[in-house]
Amino acid sequence: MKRQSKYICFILALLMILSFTACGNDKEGTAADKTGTTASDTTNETTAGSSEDSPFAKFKGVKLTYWHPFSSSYIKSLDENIVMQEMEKITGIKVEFITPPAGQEDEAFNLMIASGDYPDLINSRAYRGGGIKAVEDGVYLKLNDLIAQYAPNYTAVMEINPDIARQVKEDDGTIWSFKSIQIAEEPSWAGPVIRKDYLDKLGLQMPETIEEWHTVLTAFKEKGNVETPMLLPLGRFYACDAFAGTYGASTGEFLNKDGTVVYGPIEPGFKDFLALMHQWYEEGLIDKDFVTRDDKSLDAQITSGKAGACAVTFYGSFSSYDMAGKATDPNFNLVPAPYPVLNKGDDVSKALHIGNKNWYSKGCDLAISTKCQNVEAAVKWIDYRYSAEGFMLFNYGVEGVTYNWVEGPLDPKYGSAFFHPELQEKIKTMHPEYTDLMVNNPDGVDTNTAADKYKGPYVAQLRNPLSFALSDAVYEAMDVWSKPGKDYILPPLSVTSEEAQVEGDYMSQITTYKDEMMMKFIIGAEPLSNFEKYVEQIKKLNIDKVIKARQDQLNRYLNR
Amino acid sequence: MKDMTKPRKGNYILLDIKRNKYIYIMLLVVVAWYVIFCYVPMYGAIIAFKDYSIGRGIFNSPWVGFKHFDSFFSDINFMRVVRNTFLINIYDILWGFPAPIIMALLLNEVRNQYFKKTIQTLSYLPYFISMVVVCGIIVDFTSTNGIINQLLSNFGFEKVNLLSKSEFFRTVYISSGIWQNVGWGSIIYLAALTNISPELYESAVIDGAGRWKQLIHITLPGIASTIIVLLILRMGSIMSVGFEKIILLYNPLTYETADVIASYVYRKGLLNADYSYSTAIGLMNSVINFLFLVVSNWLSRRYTESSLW
Repeated sequence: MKRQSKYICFILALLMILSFTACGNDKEGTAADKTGTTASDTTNETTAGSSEDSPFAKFKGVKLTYWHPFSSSYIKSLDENIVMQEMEKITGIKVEFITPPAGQEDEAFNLMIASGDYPDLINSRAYRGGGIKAVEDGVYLKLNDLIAQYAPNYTAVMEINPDIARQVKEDDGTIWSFKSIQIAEEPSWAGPVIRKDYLDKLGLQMPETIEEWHTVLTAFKEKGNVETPMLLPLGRFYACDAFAGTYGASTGEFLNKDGTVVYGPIEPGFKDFLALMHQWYEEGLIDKDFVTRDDKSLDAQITSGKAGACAVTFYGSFSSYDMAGKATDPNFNLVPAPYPVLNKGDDVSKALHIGNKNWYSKGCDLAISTKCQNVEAAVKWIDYRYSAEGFMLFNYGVEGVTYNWVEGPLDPKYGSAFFHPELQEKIKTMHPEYTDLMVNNPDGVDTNTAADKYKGPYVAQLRNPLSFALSDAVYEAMDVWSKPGKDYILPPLSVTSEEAQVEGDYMSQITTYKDEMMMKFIIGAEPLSNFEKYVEQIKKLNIDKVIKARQDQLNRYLNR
Repeated sequence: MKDMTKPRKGNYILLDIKRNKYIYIMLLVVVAWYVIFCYVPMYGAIIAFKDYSIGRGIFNSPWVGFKHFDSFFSDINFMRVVRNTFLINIYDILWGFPAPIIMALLLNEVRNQYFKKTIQTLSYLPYFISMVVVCGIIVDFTSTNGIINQLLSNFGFEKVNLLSKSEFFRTVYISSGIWQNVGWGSIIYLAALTNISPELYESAVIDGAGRWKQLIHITLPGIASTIIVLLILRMGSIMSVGFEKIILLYNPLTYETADVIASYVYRKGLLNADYSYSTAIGLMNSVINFLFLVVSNWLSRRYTESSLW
């Protein structure tokens, strides 16, 4: 009996050790699978459709690894994306995607960099100290010469307009990534919304001035019995400046006032904004729970009809709001409202300087790592995205599958200004039209979701932001919201590692203090007479050093 | 057996290994686990004294001495986050620590097994709900028109968002913590209770002790050592508050009482990817926690019979 138990003991121990090592091996195995493949690996299985004289002929069978965050409710991975499959057919280059777990992209990115095993292509996230630092640290390749040599399409796009050329480079001219570029000005993507049906019911006009907003919200509350006249998502999209912007201030951004950088939350106008919000809070016109309101319950407030307006919404939410809102109230009609001005008759485009418009270069950087074995293949593979064919492929999908060219000029509202220069002639007589796969998907998914499979993934491309088949409400929203200028918004700046250090040292203290005081001012826990003290304290926390760093960056940008 | 009676030191260990070699083999696995996953990574703590850059790696990043500690100590919110961390733990020990003990004692007195099991199962449930969901429930319940305010308004209280008032934050945090952990925490005490010999109770009954006397003189002393060990371990984390629940519940209005070291580090260190900074504070925290652990263990060894070592 005793002997037997000894054996059992031994077997158990053995099992434990075995399972332990097996587990370890397993992990190593997958890690090797993920990172062990290099660009020089070849497979004969790729059925490259490239003819011998195509620029990709010599890359047949080349493999590239590509770190790219992706999550979709429609397809499992980018392997199922038909644009990526088409890219493989055209170039013969097999791309293996490395997808970090959704929601942990930043951690996964940092881990990947720290491991030293870089894939060939990296969809860059916030590298601490910026892209130049990544080049200095030997993580990313400096691309200037490679682009000049291998990327004619990207070079051509950069030359379209001097602002694009300026925004794709760092101050010293370094190019470390391929960026998502749009060759025309993108319309505004966020702004206030209001329930048109409530307005109609109470016989009110669309509010334009702050005063009119006050009247409307008061009527919502008193006559309309609306629980929350206006939602105030202060942190959402960092874009809740529709109302602060009216006073030339911002709830958290640095602003560029005629070449001088200022910090929005200590601008004199910010005090007026706080006074207004405090008054509205006291009168019950803004959300009593705005401090604790999260995105889900914010959406619920809108769709359940409890809210009459929202200080900022992203245009992509219209279709889902509409669908859910109509289910509870058939009259649900949420429409975009203009950014409010101070005086009746003010020209929005001259009076307001803070709108939610993007720059030509949208970031979304795609970098090539120093571990890349076949740099030429990598550069050419990316460069294809900036050609006329690549433009169509990434924005509209595969011809004959997701779209067809049909007779009739392209309506400018669908973004004709964003089309590749080589296509400008063609869209005067013809326009691309989505097939049912996109607009009336047989799997029952909406256009946005279908794009996960039928359009190119959103990174490093020549982009037409209007190429989504959007509802009329969205085009209307873009029109209404695009009136304010963006001259207070800082362009994409290039940050030195010393400046990154300055910001790291001071900004988190400043933001903590600012957020706390801003909320206290609004709910009245802190009297507004203390506003000057608050500004004083923020100055004590070294805001001037951060402002100076931003000012230097702006000056360098302007001198590029 | 001969060797056992008069062992020379070295021989004794060798012999013990020989006799119990399979147990040692099993131990090896555990030791290896600790060495590989707990001790080896500790060298990474040196980045607290460096300016760590992920591209350069741990060893090639430049040394900066106590810079990160300096900047933490000179932060305007330093005293506040330390105070809040400390107070939340003190209150949690005051209210949260006894709760599972009381729960276990009460359950122990329940004679109806079916009722007892039902209560136990129900009280475990909150422990298994994801923190994000729990905090979503809390936010909902404490909002201006939430269930708590609906109830309180019946008694004439003014409706107010409880999570926007800094004076209520600790109450909400601690009481929801008790709700989450009371069932789970009582398991270990229930286990300790089964170790008490029934003979003790029988003789107490013969001596005329009632339920209350039995509880005071037999049950409590019976689990006292378990309580003390758990209390010592709890003291070892007096400077730690997990940041998940805090950042899900706090907001700028409650920073005054809710901002703790962990949430502060989260904002400053992790969101800015300032790993050196967060490591420095983590290291400092561990040292303070370790001191508390040692001191409370020493006190316990001195005044009671139980201690960790």
